[in-house]
Amino acid sequence: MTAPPLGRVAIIGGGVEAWMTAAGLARATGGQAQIRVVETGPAVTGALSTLPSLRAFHGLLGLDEAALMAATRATYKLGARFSGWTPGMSFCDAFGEIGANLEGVGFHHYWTRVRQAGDATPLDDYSLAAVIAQLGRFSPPAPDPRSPLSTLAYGLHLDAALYVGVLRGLALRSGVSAGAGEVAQVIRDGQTGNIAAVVLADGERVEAELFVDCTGPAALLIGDEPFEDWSALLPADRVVRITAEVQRDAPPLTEIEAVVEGWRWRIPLRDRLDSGLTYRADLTPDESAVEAAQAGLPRQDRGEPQVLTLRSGRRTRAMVGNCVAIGGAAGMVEAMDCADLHLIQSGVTRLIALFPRPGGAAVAAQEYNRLGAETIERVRDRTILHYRRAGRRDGAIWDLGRDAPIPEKLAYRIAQFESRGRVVMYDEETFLEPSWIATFIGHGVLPGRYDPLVDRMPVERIQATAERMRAIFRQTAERAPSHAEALGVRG
Amino acid sequence: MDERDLAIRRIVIVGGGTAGWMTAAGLSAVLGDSAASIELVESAEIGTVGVGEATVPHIRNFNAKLGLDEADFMRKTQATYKLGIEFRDWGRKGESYIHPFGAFGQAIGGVAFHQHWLRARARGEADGIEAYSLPIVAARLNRFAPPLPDQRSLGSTFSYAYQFDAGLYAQYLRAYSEARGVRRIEGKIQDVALRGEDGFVAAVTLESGQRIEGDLFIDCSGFRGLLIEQALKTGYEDWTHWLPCDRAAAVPCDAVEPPTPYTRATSDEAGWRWRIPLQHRVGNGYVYCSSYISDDEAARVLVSKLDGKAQQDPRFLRFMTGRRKKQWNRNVVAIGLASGFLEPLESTSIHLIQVAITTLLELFPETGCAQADQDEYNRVMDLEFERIRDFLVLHYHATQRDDSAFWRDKAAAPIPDSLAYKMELFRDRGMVVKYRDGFFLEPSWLAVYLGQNILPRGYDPMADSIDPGEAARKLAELKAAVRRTAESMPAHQAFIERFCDARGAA
Repeated sequence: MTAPPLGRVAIIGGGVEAWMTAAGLARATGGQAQIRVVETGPAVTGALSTLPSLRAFHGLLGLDEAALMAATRATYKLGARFSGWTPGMSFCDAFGEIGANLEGVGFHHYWTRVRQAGDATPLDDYSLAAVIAQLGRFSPPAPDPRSPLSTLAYGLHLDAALYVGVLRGLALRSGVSAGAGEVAQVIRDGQTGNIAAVVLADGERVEAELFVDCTGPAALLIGDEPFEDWSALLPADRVVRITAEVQRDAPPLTEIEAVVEGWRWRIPLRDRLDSGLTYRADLTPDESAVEAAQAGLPRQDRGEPQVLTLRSGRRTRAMVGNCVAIGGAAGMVEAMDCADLHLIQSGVTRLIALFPRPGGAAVAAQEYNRLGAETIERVRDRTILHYRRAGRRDGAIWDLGRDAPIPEKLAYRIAQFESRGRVVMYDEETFLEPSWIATFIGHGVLPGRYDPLVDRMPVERIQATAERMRAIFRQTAERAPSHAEALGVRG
Repeated sequence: MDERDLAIRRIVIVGGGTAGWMTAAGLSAVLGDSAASIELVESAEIGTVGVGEATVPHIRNFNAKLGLDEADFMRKTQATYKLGIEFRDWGRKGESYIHPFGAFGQAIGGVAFHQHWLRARARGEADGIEAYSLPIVAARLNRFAPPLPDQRSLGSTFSYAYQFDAGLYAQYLRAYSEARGVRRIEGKIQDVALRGEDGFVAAVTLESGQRIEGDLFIDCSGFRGLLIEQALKTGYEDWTHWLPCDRAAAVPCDAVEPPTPYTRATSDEAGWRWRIPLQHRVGNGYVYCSSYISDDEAARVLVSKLDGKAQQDPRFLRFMTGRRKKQWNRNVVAIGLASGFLEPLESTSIHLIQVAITTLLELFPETGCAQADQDEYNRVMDLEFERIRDFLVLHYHATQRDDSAFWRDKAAAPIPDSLAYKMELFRDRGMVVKYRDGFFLEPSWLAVYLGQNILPRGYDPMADSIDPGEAARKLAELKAAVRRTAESMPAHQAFIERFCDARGAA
């Protein structure tokens, strides 16, 4: 057999990252690479909560969304609702715009203006996605740019194992081969340090030009590469995952709720609720964590709680020689902003864009690593922001989070928003401007000043305009179908 | 307090010229209805530089924000259209390439067009990259038509800018600004008074004794930086080790042929010469390094290379490439040459003015000029300056000219690390580094790299996911369509005559 033009790719690991990589590479290489997945590691469980950007990846793969949703017991997601971070407070980080720019000035400046004049309307009331979602309704973005619905975007809640099944089927149909195997040994070329082969427990020797480490925190291939530890920045180090009964009218939202021990998530699927607690082992024993995770949720007999360790940080270099790590092997942060799939997706698209070239220079890997570092650091910064601004005082984890050192770029970003509501955006951002605005304001980072150009408009007119906007959003939301109806249509 | 009132009551712009009047127009368009007053102090005795006669497509956004009528503006400023810049003798003597305002082809199978082109070229199946760019082919044929709105059509794949008389543009914007309440004050500034408590500029005093107070001062006084430097001693970051040209000679000449829809930059023994065709004349200049050529010799060379008769004696300008350490310091914002200087090789002078105005409006201050706002303004402008700087240095560094001491020294001179990184990635696999901010995008970098013979050693391996026969067929189709579309456009001169002929304009 002649060597394929783009060489052989061996993907080691069996999780979402392995199959996103396999499906993405199969599509991009158009059959010109020989791709094999060595399936190893624990079975995939739980649910995934995604950002709208994943839909672009599905577009690249040519996946039909309706079929995908039916196959993965999926529901829609218009954003995430944060509650309990500061006693009594709740806000949505919803997809889509917040209000509308007026005379070239961002809406949140007008919101700040009327707030300073005594109007206590929450920012959520001006986010169409938040209004629709909190009514338990859903609408896809409208194509007509004049409709307020055109400003919407949505993500999905997916069953992880079923999602892997869909990607796996797609990859196999595109010529990817797969088989189970345990990594016994990684053999390196003595001169270059490149991986020459991965030897499996059954003695098989897997050779390839490119090895992708999708083995998660175990990092079986890239593990020798230094790991930049972020445990001093992000306090949680353990996760317990449970399932519960899902409410029939669950809104299209991921719930992120802070409790004494840490934070809980709730992801509604069609047939169950995926939930769990992210906590810190030296402060909360696992049994207490399980109790805290289950508190108040209708029980469902579906397996035991599952405890996983979490190590926040990133591999200093995710691409080294002919090895690239994607997913947990490359880095991890606590998932309260639901960016884990986005990190995998950006790793895959970056790998496609910087696919190693035979005889290519080290600069391509350098660029891969630069972009990867920027991406995960911006996500990490958002996660730090949640801890930093959490107003709870009832658990030691909250004190650790609040007092953690703050990265320079985040400090600048907070200072700029606090000063006059300026949203600083850096390279390789995962979250869009409205998401930063909602999160800042939701956590009480309120601009001390608003853009003075706001004062070109009398405050009564601003109030009237805002009121009209709110009414339109409310009416629009009330006309949208319920989340369950919307799923029925697609399912 | 009046509800329509801004905290800033008095804005004083020091200096007219392109920067001053663009700032006045930009601010008055946004602040016109407020109670804030805008005053512009200038002296008819102080000449303006006004060499920035070529623009980049963003100027159209600026004009649109002002609500200018395009045909009227073009007639009054003797404007012609601009599809790009022709660079002559930059890679090697005798060579020419065009940096277009538009993309080279479209991605095929998710892989950038130029990657397919690189592969086809390696297989001997591609023409020069210019054949696949509509604005380049149209420019070479001296044709022009505005881009089509339908995003799917080839005719939508480019943009355009203008070549105009910057002095007339300033006059045009002066009329615009005065109609919106900007007050022009004639006079030379004799003294700048600082406030004791915070060192803010309190007022400027004219030779006539008139004292003009303000809350916010915009320094558009040119190289000397009357407020930002002379009064506030802000300091200047010198970039001449990267971009050593320090003088220019400028002279307009008669046109002897219809205007080209592009500007030309021709490298010369100690720098480069510009040629900017307007409706009524051609603007010319020689940007040079005074350690390699005398003023007299530069002027002689410039005049000897003109298309037609010189309309006056060459005027000389001196400058130092670099940027003010803070573009915004206390209550003074420097815009235009007062903020820094980058040679006009890529027509960025007016663009930098525009970015400064836009950013100032985004961060428009209260009377206290919060430090946070200054920091953010300076961060944004610093990035803009640095990214343009790297792009300019590339032109000097990527040269094979070795026929003069200037070019031999330039090719050997160090370059910023940020540029070295970008070039290495391009050399390895034809990849252009992308950032969120910064003006020049992939097609611009590609044009200069390829135009100056920086050819990648390899291409994006993903190009191999597309059958080479299919890619070659798409390349051939695009080339034919580009040619056909360009040939269907009217001649540049004919389009001007129909749309915005300055002859007979008031």
